[in-house]
Amino acid sequence: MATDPVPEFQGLRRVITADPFEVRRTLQELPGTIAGVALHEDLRVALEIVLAEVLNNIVEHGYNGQGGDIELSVLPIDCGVMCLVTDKGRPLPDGRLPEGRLPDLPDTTAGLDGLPEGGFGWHMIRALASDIRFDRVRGANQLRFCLRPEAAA
Amino acid sequence: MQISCEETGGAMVARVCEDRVDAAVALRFKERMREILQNPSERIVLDLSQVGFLDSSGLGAVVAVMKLAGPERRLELAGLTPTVQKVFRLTRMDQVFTIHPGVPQAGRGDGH
Repeated sequence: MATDPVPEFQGLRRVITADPFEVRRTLQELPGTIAGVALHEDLRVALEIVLAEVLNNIVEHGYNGQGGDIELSVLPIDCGVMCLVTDKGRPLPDGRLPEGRLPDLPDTTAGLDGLPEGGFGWHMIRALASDIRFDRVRGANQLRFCLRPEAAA
Repeated sequence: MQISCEETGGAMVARVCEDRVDAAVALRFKERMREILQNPSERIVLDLSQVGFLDSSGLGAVVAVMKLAGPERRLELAGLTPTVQKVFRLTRMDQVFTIHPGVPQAGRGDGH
């Protein structure tokens, strides 16, 4: 048998079903240490917030609530973690990363009706993650991003 | 979705007895709060001190509940845990809600 030249992946790898309770369980079970590197509390919190948005977007929009597989990999890097999330659902609209602009807050004198109830997800992803990149590769979506403690604090 | 209610010092305190308000339960949270809002209390305080995590769906549901309560009543928040506080801060929703650092307790007045 030929030896595998690729070193074994040392990070966190999970394949989950696209379901909100599976996403919840995955987040609850995020380890405090990945590949022997302890995650700073601020980084762990940022990772949980960003992964919640990324994974739930795939559940709701990518797979349209119909289920499917999501593969998640998290690897420690010099000053933080790098994440790769892969799925076979629909690509992001126009194959591009959403801008993530926070919805405008209405003038308070105008009452509460104009308050946004959505559009927060990509704003939080962009606020906490860096080097975000989306690729559509052979029918699969690949979203990559990094989280670094200074941005996560 | 367990939310317990208690009248205290002229306000109705709705305590969310769940660890997470996320995409899995956001709709049920909203439905349960809709029932609770049938109570005519003028002040409603949502006690989130037991909620360790809230995502954008949970946040959207809290905003929706504030709209359901209004315009003559205002939904106030209390007891935000660090991660929940961070989500409110990142989305600037901390500027929209009245947020009490402490949790109102029975017999302690209005919780300020």
